[in-house]
Formats: sequence, structure tokens, C-alpha cells
Amino acid sequence: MIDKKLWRTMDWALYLVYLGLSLFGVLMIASASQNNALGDPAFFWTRQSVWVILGQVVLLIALRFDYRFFARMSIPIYVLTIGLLLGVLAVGVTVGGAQRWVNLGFFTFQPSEFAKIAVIVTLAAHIEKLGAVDTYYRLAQVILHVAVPIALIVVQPDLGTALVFLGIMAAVLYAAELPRRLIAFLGASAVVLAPVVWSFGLRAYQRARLLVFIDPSLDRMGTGFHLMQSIIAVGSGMLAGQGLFAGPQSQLNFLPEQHTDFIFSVIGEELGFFGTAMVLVAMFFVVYRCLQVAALAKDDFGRYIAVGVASWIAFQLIVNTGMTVGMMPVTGLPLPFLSYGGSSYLALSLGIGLVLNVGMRHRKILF
Amino acid sequence: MERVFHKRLNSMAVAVFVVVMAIVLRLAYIQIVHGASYRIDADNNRFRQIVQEAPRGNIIDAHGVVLAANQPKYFISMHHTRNPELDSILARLVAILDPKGNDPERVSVAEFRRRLHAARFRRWQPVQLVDTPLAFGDSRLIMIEEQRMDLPGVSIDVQPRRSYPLGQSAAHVLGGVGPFAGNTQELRAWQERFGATRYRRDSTVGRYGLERFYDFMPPHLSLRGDDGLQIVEVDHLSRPVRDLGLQAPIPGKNLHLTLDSALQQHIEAWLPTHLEQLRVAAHAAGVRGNDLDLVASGAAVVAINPHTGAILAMVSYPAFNPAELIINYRALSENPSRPLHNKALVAFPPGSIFKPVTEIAGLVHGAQVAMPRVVCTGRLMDTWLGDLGKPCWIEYHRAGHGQVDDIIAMRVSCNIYYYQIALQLFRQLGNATVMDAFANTAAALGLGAPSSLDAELFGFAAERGVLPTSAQFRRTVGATPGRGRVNPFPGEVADIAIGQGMQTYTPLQIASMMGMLATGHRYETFIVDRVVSPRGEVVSQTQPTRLASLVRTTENPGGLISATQLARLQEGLRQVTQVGGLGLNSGTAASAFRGATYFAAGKTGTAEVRLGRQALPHHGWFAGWAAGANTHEPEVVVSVFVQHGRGGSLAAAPIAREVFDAYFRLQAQRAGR
Repeated sequence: MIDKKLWRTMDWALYLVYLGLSLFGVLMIASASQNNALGDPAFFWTRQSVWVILGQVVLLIALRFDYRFFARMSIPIYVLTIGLLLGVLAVGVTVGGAQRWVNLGFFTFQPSEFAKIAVIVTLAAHIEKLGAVDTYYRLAQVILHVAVPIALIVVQPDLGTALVFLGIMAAVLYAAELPRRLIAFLGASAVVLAPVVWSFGLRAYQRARLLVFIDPSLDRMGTGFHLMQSIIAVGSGMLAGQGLFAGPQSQLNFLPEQHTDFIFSVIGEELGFFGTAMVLVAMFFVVYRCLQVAALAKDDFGRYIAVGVASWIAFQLIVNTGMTVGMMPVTGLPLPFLSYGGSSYLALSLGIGLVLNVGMRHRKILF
Repeated sequence: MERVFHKRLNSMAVAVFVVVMAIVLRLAYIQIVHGASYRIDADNNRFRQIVQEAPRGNIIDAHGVVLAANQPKYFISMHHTRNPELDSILARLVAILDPKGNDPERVSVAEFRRRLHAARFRRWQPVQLVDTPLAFGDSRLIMIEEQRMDLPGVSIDVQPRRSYPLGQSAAHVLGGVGPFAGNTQELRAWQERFGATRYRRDSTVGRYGLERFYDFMPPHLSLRGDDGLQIVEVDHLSRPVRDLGLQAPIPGKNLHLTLDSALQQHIEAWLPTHLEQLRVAAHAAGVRGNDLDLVASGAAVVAINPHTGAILAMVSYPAFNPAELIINYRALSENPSRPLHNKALVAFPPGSIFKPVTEIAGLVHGAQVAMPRVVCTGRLMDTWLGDLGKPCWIEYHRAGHGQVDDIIAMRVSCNIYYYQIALQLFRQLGNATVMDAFANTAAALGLGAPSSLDAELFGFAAERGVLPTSAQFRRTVGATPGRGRVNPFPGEVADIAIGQGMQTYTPLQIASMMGMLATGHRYETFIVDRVVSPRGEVVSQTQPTRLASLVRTTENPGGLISATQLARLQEGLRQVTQVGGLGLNSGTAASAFRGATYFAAGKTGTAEVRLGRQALPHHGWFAGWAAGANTHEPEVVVSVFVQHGRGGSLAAAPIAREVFDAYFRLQAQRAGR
């Protein structure tokens, strides 16, 4: 199926770093969930191992076709995504006040994670088709394209994920050479809309989270408590960490959602600055390689996919790690590749697979 | 076209790089720059200390009788659990503790739940469900033990509680314990001195008496032990996960007192009956209204060993129950008869009990050489000044004492004799100096001087008394607006000679003085004989301290009088307890000591008390010593003060007699055993 020459052009470094991060994630999840509420120390890491294996399968499938196939399938993918997002609102499971999951029996499936890669692919196809986003009308079309899934996700409600879509859209538009006047227009709109969204678009708990981010002492026992415990955990790791499976903050459950949203705090506590810096370097490498793929892509579709995936990873990386060290509000976005969660991991694997696919089929470089 | 998107991809990579670097810098700041302090925060997060209060040291009398000890009290506690059946467990507990539902305010599921909820931020600590402890052997304790399997999380906490086996006995000496309550300033002061861990907000500390003084002592001398610490590791809900060991509490030091609790208890039991008789007698004598309420409303008895200064008994009436000191504090402090005051340490006007001082002052300055004998006609007549308007107390009964010398004067407490000494000194020394002559003599006998016991037993507002110095005169009379004088009138000097005027002394000081008259030596009074560690090592042993001697010898050139003079003084004091020839001029304490089988000497005192211009019932004093029948060696000194007792002879001397009797009776009992 895949040309042997293509294997040679594949970005093995990107793949290996991605795989390394994935396996490292399993290890950290094992450490973080040793004393979990379910009482089974192996519960989370064994499941995540399954996701990592399935992720490789998904990635391989994504590599098998020429990615142009996905451009042709753009409309069905978009329709399916919207359908799934509507479906989760209809039959979804409510966890922690938000309706984000669909229970498939063996697996609670989170459509919004797959919506991310689906929107990247369909948006890439859409903008390629538009040729250039250089008029207000075309910009409006692009915004509408993203606004529908965003609206469905905000209703769940899941503010963090909705923001990821905005980030992806901004990055892809920017890479698609959006003219400066339109950039200025978008910027101005954001400034005007922000207070409106604050007052009418956000729920009370979302506003509270943002306020607590600005002043954690507002809420010492709730969100602020989590934030402080996370900073204490990261800080107490010092240079070399307290050792795997030996971080008291993590092991005694002082950290909230330590195997998912706060896995970075566990890394900070148990592996210290060496661990956190290493993760950030590896993550930046992944983002950087995706952007390189974008630079060398043979067509706009491939380029936008690569930029979309790069911005997706970068956005969640910054928001998640920023949150654990008190630089960003608590939003509940997972750390790419490392946080426990099948939907997120499989969607990301699909994204990496597509980027590798784009990279394999880039145009010839003449030396 | 190509260049634009390359540029934009580049700037995106740079933007991501910059933000990631910012996060790396933030991590370096948290983990490297401030890592150590966050490490401490993390440890504080997970370690909790449970304080185990150390048992206080015991207080024991001279014969091994325990005066203050710790009794285990049993408290019902509950650990924080996530047991969904909490309500039914609590209901079962309520059924055991209060099966009839008599006290739903303190024993009910709702109340227990409220207590657990109130302690939700200190989940590592068991929560005390009921404030009042159960005593050992309470059947409810046994039922809880039996049903332990059905009461998960419920535990019985044993805590030491201070108990006073002899009840109210020696209350003023022992004092009492209690919490710091809201007294943050005091707490901080002790924390600064002895360390923050030794005193905590919820510590039980001595609030009064020896309990207080020997609490705030350096650890090696303190009743307070070293509290134990149990360190537990807790999870994010503060529930204990792991026990990291116990630092066992170390009990406090035991205090062995010089007190004879049998003597003390005898006085305490006997005194109220006698005081009641005085009130009845006062009523019969026509005392009414406010004056009658005052009669014998308070009393103090101090018994010391004159050869060491050791306190054998110290009684203050009325007393309080040390175990309920804190609970009843408000009522006790507002009670007009001042049960919290240790009257043995409160200064009162001395009256005639001061006369031995006048006698010695006269001897020091040679006054008696000019007038070995004085004729008492009942009024003070001076060759030059005429009738000074100063009567002798005997005037109310008959014309006068007639011719008196020093011994008779002491026996019958003749005012005229001592007035004459004062006038003689007044002529020899002049206006102000004569006052200082009295004051200096009184000070040499231990009057008006602070005692180490003041601080030990009183702790606050200790009184040292007032000496009649010329400086004191200038401060009071001299400062009277419009009528200020530097020099006293002769009559005022005469008043001082008989113990009136502006002077006050404590019963303990009078005891100390009488000890000096009995033995010729004055010792520092003390009540703590030794401090002993829980293992029985003597940490500190009080050595008797001789402060001064009365007789002038080659070793003691500063002595005030000769041995012969002291012997005459003692003879005078002895005759106070004797019946005079022909039944006339009997000693003022003769009736109280009629039939005594032992040697007894002493002096009565009747002090006038005025409140503004109003005369209140007189205070009564007696101080003296007793010696074994054969030896004549002074064994015990007693000082008795009866507030508004209406006179020393009737009110105070019988108490002293009873104390001496009890002392020798107890001695005989102990010898016979």
C-alpha cells in the first residue's frame, strides 16, 4: 500500500518523539493513579496502554491513504462531526456538570476530541477551496465553518475545548495569509466581543474560574485550592524531583484529576525541573516538526492540516502546563499525549498520522 | 506568495517557542528558586501533629499525702470516617450514653453531627463528642467497649484531668488550673520565654497558687511536663494514612510541700464553727446590720516552723474549690468576702501585736532606761504636754493598769507604757526620725518586707504591707491638700507605738516576726520543700535561709538587743497566756490558753478599722509560739488574723490555742504509730 520510498521520507524523529511521549504518559499515569478512588492501581495505566496501541493502529491507517482522500471526504466528515456533537447533547453522559461523553459501553467516547481533527481537516479543505481568505465574505464563511461546532461544544458546556477551535482557526487563517486588515478586523472584534461574552456567554463557574486564576486566594478550598496544591507539587519537585511513584502531593491525592488534567504537576513533583523541561522540549519539538511539515507541504490542504495540528498541540500544551504553574486559568484541557484519556489520545494520533502523511508526500526538494 | 506563509510559519514557531520558554522560566522559578520552600509546604500539607498533653506533676504534703494529682477521665470521641452508616452508629452511641433522652442538647445525633462538621478541617484528630468526661467504672464505658464492633470510628480517649483529693483543703496554696482562654497576651509572653511548643492556646495551665507559679518555671522545675506528639501522615481530606511514631509525653515534676495536711485540714474544719460563734456573740452584744455581716467574715491562719521558716499550715477563709476555680471564677471574684484572696498574704493594720516592735525600738534607743516603770491611769498624761487624749484600752473596764514594767505591759497590753516609749523616743530623736526608728525596727523583724511566697502563692497583686516611715508620712499626710505637714504630732507617733496609724502587715509577716521573737532568728518562709522528678530524683531541695538574728553577739554585731533583753521580752510574751496574781492583770490571752499542757507565748492584737469616718468592727490578731512541755524549745509559730473579729483575745487567741493543741496531738499520734 505504501510506497517503500515513502517510508524513507517519513519523519521518523517526529514519530519517535510522539511515541516516546505516549509511553512516558503511560508511566506517569501509572504513578499518578496508584492510589485512586477505584482501588485498582492498574486500572488507568492498563487502559491508557490499550489507547496507545490503538493509537498506533489509527496512525497507520491515517498513513495508508494519500491525505487528499480526506479532502474529498470533507463534507461527509463535517456532517458526521456535527451529527456526533448533536448526538452527545441528546444522549450524552453528564460528568461534572458537563455533557461531553457518549457511553459506548466499553468506552466513553468524547466527540469533541474527534471534532478537533475533523474541523482541522474540513477547514483545511474549505480554505484550500476558497483559494484565499481575502474578503469579509470569505472570512465569514470560514468563521461560520468553525462557529457551528464551537457553538455545540459551548452548550455542553466545555469552554476550554471551544477555545482550542478558536486557536486552531486563528492559526490556520494566519498561515493561509490572511490579509492584515482582516487580522485587524478580527482583533478588534475580539476586543469588542470579550465583555459581551464575559457577561452573557460564560456560566458562573467559568467566570469564577477565571477570577480565581487572577487571584487564587479568592477560593482557597475550591479551584484556588487545586491551583495552589498544583503549584506546591510542581515546586516541591525542585531540580530532580522526589522520584517516580514517590511524590507525596500526588500519592496522597492532594492534586485534583492528577492522571488527566494535572499530570504535568505529577511530572513536576516526581521528576523535578529536569522532567518538566524535558517534556516541554519534546512537545515543542513536535510542534516545530509539524510546522516544518507545513512549510514543505506540496499543497495548501496538507499545509493547513499540519498548521492546524501544530496549533492544536501547542494551544493545549500552553494552556495545560500554564494552568499547572498558575500562568493560565483552570480550563480542564488535557496535556497532549500524556493525559489519561482515549478520545484525546486517539484524535491526536490521527492528527500526527495525517501530519506524517503530509510530510511523506511533500514536494521534491531540489538540492 | 511563498515568502509570506513561510514568514508566518516562522513567526508562529517563534511565538510558540517564546511562550514555552516563558513556561520553562516559570518552572525554573518555582522548582529551582523557590523549590525548597514549596517542599516545606508540601510536607506541612501531609504531616499533622496530635498533641498528647503530659500529666502534671503531683503536689504532695510533708507526710506524703497527695494534695493535687491527675485522675484519668474518659472522653467519647469519634474519628472522621466516610462510613455511610454514620447516623446509625451515632444513634447507637446516643442510646448507650443517654438511653432516656434526658439531655438531647448535648447527647443527640444532631449534636454529634454538628461537632463532627465543626471539626471538618481537622480531620486527622478524633472529635470529642461530649464535653463532660465519664469516670472510671462508668457502666456506659463498659457498654461502649462491648459494642466496639458496632461502633466503628468511636473511641474512648483517656485524658489526665487535675483533681484535688482533699477538696477545698489548702485551696489558696494549691490554686487551680485552666485554659489560657482569651488571654493571648499572656500566652505569647510565656511562649516567648519557654518556647512556642510548651504553651499552646488550648494548654491547661496553672491559673493560681502553686499550680500557676510552678507551671511557668524552667522545665526542670515545672509541674508542667513535656507534651507528647503523635505525628501522622494525612491525605488530601486530612484523614490519617500512616502513623509516623509517637514522642511520648513526659510527666511534670512533683512538688513536695512543707505543709502538714492533717493540721491544715483540722484548722479548716474547725475554723468556720468558731467564726460562727463569734458572729453569734457579736449579735448578742448588739452588733447589727452591715457591721454584723462584717464580723468574722474572713480569717487567716499561718503555722510555721520557727527553726527553718517552713510553712506547716496556711489557711485562708473563706476558701474555694480548686477543681472549680475556672468554672466559678466570675462568681468567686465578685464575692464581697473575697474567697480568692489568700488572706495570709494580704496586709492588715496590726494593732497591739506590733507592741514587741515598740519595745525593741525603745530598747535600741535606750528609752526604757529613763522610765523602767510607768503608771497607767487609763490616759496618756505627759509632764509637759498634759492629757494627750489617748486612752488605754483598760479604761473601758476600770481606772488603769497601775504601775507596769515591760513584762506586765506586754502581758496586759498596756497602751500607756508603749505610748510613753513613743514620747520618750520622740523627745530623744525628734519629729520624723522617731517614725523611721519604728519603721526600721519593724523591718528588721521582717515586717513590710516582700516574701518569696508572695509571688509563689499569690502570683498577682501581692501585698507587702506599709511601714510607718517618715517618707510614707510625707506621701500621705504630707500630701493632704491645704493641711500638709512634714512632721507628725506626738499623738500620731504614739498611735504607731500601739500598732495603729498608717501601717499594715500580712499574717505571714507577723508569723515570721513571732518566729524571730521565739528563737532569736528569722528565716525565709517557704512552702515547697523539694521538687522531685517523676523517677524520684530530687531536682531541687530548699535549704532554710536565715535572714537575720535579733541578739547582739560578736558574730552578729548588728543584733538589736542583748540576750537578757530578749529573755525579758519572751517572758512578757509568755505571760500573755498566763493568769495574773489575784486574778487581776491576767494576760490578754490567758482565758484562751487556760489549761494548756505545753509552753505557749504570744501577743494579741486588736486593730481599729475605719472606712472613711465610720468605725467598723475591730480586727483580731494573735501570734505566738508553743514549745513542748519539757523542752521550752519553740516548735511551732502560729499567726492568726480574724477580719472584723472584734478583738484578739476572744477571736484570734482561741484559734491559736486550737492549732497548738492539734499540732501536739498530731505529733503524739505520729510518735505513737
